[in-house]
Amino acid sequence: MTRTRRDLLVLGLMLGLLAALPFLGLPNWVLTYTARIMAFAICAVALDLVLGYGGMVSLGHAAFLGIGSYAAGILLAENVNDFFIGLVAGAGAAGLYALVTGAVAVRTKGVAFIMITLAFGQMAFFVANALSEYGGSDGLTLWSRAEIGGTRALARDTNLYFVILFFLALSILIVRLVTASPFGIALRAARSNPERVTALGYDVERVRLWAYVLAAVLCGVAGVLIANLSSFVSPALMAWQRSGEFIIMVILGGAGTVWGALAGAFAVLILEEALSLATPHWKILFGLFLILAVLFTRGGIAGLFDRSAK
Amino acid sequence: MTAVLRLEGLTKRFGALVVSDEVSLDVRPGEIHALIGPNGAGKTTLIGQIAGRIAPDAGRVFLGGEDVTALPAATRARRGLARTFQISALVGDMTARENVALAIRGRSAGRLAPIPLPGLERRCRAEAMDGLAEVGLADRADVPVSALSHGERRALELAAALALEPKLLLLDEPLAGAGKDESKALVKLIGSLRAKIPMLLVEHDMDAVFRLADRVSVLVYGRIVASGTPSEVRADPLVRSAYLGEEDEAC
Repeated sequence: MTRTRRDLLVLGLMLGLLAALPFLGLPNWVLTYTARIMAFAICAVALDLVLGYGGMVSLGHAAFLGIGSYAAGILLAENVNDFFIGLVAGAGAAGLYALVTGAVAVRTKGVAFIMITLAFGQMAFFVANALSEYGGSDGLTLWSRAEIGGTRALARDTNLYFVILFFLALSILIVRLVTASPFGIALRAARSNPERVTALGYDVERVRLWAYVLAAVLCGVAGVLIANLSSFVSPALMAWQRSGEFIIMVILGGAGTVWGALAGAFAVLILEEALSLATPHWKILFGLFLILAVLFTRGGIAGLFDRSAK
Repeated sequence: MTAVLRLEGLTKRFGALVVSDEVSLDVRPGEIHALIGPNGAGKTTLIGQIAGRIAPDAGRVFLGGEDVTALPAATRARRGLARTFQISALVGDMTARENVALAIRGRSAGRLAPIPLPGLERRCRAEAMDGLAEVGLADRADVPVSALSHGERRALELAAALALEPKLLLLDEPLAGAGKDESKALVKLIGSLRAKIPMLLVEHDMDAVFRLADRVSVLVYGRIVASGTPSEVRADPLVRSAYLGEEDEAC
């Protein structure tokens, strides 16, 4: 009980801080950069459902972000400018891809699951590379952001910032509700003992599949937001390294807490930016930092893999 | 009276090896039917086929008169087939009460509701406490499974299985790994459940089997070689030579 209350308190604080940020008179790049982190944080929160609660190490979640981005980007390129159409298309396309690929992936576990999600992720990546009509490997530049009710409200960075914050809060709310629900309890129980959960009458594969699809839908939404924010979509969004980055965010922040994923997203992206400003060899420092974080935080990667391997 | 569980000619081969050889048996209402047999007799494979984890090559499984041969394990559980595992299988990072509540939710229509259902939770909580009291774990309700003793885990498995309100309980070596005192307590507990629910008991501990069982079937090399009351089976010369008297050779 107290843990739940603490979690909610931290979450409220973080979201409150983010809501106050635009009023602090900070330079615009801080705002757009924070908005970008928030969009990625949606993916981290979504992945926490799959990885933290479900024990499924997915190395393909960037694909869902990318699919959402491309859906939004292609619609804009074709002059379908309504934001909500893009949103539904992006979320729907990502969810559909997750439903089809997840139906296969959830039949596997442990390392096989990692490899199969990686493979499906790379498939999406190569398809995006081959979309020569929409920029191919160079990516697709969008000339304007989507419209809301025919107005160009999202052209203002602050407005888009609040839209992204809204969807981040909504994602957190959804994931928290789902994890506290009978579905979420079954998902968590199946992480530690799928056989027992099956013997109690739960279809474990179905539970896992729906968690996988829900996470993908949220990533799709994040993709739509990113496309509008950066006015650019490219295959790099769905490179497998990005999926790895999401895993780092979740694990670094603390899997299975939701707010941990949010904190992890900020920690990873700010650190990457700060280190890359300091030295061109920043990846060495980042790697060192990760090793220390895993060694000195509870459970870390080892504990997680133990659970997912069961 | 229809049998709660009926196996009809169950056959399973792994390559050339016949692990279940036309196994037929039934469990009637109100009885404990024990299945014994030396190591490698095919008990585990048979249980897998009854529970729905392994598909038989031939034969059928009836649960309360209904053919469930084609149903997956989770569906069979919901139709009333509860089981315990040879190696304690509980959700380790949940408490005793949460494990039982998971079972109660498992048989409710809201088991996969994507939002919290306070009414269902209240009911699960109360029923889980009743279930724990039944197996003598009322005062251990909020202890995580990882902190329970082996005997307590065994009892908790029974509570979780019973919480499904099953038609039949499949016990896969419920005494495995239990100490002398723990065994005694578990035998007493299982015996006390006899009137409530029919059981198919697979067990190595012969004392326990002959104390608990109403009928005993003996499985050797995948085939039922004898079936009857404990005293009939004990007297059967075939069983004595194949199993009871000369365990070394049979193993």
